Amino acid sequence: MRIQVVIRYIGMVLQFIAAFMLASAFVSLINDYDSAYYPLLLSAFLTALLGLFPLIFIEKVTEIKTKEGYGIVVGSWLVACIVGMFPYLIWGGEFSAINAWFESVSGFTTTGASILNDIEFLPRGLLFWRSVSCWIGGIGVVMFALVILPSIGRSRHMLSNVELSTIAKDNFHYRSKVIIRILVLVYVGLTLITTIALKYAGMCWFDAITHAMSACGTCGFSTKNSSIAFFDSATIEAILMIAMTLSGIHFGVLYATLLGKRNNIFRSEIVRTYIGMMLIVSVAIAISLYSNDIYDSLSEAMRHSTFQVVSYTTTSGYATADANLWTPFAIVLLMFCSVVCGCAGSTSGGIKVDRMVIAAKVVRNRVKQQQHPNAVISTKIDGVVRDDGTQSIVMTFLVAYVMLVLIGTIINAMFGCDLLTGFSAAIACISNVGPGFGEVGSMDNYSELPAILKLNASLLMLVGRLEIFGFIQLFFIRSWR
Amino acid sequence: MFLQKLRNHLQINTISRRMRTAFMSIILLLIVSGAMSLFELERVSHDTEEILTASKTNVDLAGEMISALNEQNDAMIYMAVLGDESEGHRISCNHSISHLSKTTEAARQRMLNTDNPAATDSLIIHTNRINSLAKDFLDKRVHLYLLEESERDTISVLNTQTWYADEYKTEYLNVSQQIRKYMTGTNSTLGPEVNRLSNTARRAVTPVFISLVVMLVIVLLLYFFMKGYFINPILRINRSLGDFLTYKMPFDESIPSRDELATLRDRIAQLIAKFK
Repeated sequence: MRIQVVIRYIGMVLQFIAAFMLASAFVSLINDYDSAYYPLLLSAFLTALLGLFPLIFIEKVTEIKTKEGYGIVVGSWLVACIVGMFPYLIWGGEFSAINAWFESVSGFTTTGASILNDIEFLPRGLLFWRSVSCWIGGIGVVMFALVILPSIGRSRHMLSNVELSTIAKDNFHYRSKVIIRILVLVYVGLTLITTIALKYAGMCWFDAITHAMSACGTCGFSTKNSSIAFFDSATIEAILMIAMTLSGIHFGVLYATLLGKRNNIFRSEIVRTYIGMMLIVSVAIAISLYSNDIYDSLSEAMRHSTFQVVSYTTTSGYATADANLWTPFAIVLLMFCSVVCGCAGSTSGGIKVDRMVIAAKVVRNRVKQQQHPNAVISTKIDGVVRDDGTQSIVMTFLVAYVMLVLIGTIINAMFGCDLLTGFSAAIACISNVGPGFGEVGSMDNYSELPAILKLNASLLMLVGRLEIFGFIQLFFIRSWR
Repeated sequence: MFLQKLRNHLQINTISRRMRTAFMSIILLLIVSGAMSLFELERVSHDTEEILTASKTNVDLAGEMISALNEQNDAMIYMAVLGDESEGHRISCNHSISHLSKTTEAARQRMLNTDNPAATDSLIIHTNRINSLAKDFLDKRVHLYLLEESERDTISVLNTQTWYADEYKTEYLNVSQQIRKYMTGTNSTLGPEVNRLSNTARRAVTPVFISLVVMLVIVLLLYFFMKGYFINPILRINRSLGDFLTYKMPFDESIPSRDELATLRDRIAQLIAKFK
């Protein structure tokens, strides 16, 4: 592996991040030079310098190998999280080194978990940077860099191959260059529409932009301590639900729907399962809440259950109610949503509906195969046969996911977490949902966890965001032939 | 044409330009981190000065209140207990009344900007009370002067001693206690300021620390690049040239960059080709 090639591309990603830090510093500037102005400006300078330095020596490379591609993607995420700490650390307040790392990883991995007890105390510049970090993270640091940064040429193909999982690319029937354009067009377009809609629903421009970025990145960072409950507006909740739901759908399918093509959201089996699952779970939770007298009316129960289900399924983590106070049945269903999550090729994390559908069909086919040993049974999604390789990858992913959740829970329990907190925190972090249950519920935060558990949580977030194998691969890159 | 020239000029494609840019980057980083720490230290210094000034002003005010109160008390002892009616005590008493009013008002104004604006309320009430006692006493003394001398002595001395012991002395002790409370209370109001100072001090160190870490990374990168792009290619060219001269092995070295070293390699190859 040519390490200098990896360093050059990470450098380009850093310049891109520095530009967004500068944009956040501009937000500070127009807010009467708030206290985040100098931290953001200095962070932008340091990040830009770190990014530019390799370009002085390393010349342009047009061809990169798969191994280097992995190095660039995983390295970019890690380095982005490290430089993302700078504004928080320099600003101070509640941000110790561990807290700043946690907040930065949580932002870039679009988890949306926070260590802040008083979010509203943060200056606007820093709040904007928080939202920007999850917006960049939503579509993937490298994906963004590929579109914006010029002259990468043929290496685009390799990087998009690494950044997008095999399943995520299924619905794209285009070349890599076009895929990247589609992703960014849909993402930016969705963010703009959500911003305008939120503004007209009663938010100020600042809140509208930050919440739109956070919703489209399926992150769930809010500018308010009580999250979306602060606004107490059914219109705002409806807009955010639509934005989150759309962000949880494969961007290629959204693009195809916009262009009126055949493989649209109405015909997609995966999207139907995704929407259907959210509807059924929402109704079940609403009935449970109403029958247990948690809400006075069924409509109120439905309003809160739907928002929470959409928020957990799309891995956003916004809250309009304290789900910790809900019935055990509702909590288990929300945990199920945190495991399944959105569709592949979207900004959401977790196992993804695609994998769950394939896994369910593999199990069904296995039963059929036992009944009819000579039958040739294929696994189809939207009429397309999934080969044994894909099925094997999906099953391996599920096993790895379960193992990591168990390891995460054991580590959490080892350092004093109760079972509900430890288990739900492990799921919430690896699926990039953010809020769990118990001490890390939707109206609480991760500030009370010991430093070692914050590190454990941030590691799980990174592993989840890089779809498990992307991260693990980094440690075996030397033995990779 | 001009743009092409400008582009060529800005391109960092020679060894000297690369080295210059690399060192300029490090110098720039040093300057910025230095400026940043100076800026933050200036803030720490400003905050420290603010806290010290606030503390000093509070102590000064409390001191002035105590001396005004004592001055008033002394005058009262002379006039009310010892029956000394000299004009000096009257003037001293009047002066202490106005001084005590001014200092308590100043203390109230200072506390208005803190987290506990009502902290001086009791002090103000007791000060007003003792001042009005003193004023009433002075007014009554003027009235007494209008009486016959024999009547004046018997009425005034007996009554004023009792008045001093029962009323004035009690209020004097109350005011003293309130001033003490004010002194200790103002110290606790400085707590948030001290916390802010502590945060600012941490913030003064953090940018420098982060800049140092970045600089360390850059220096390591510089070492890595210098080794990979300058030192190793020179060593390889040298070894390859030596192999050619000694064993007539073909001179074929790849250079990772397109700078003077690549030109040197090409020229050596041309020279070898010329003498073959």
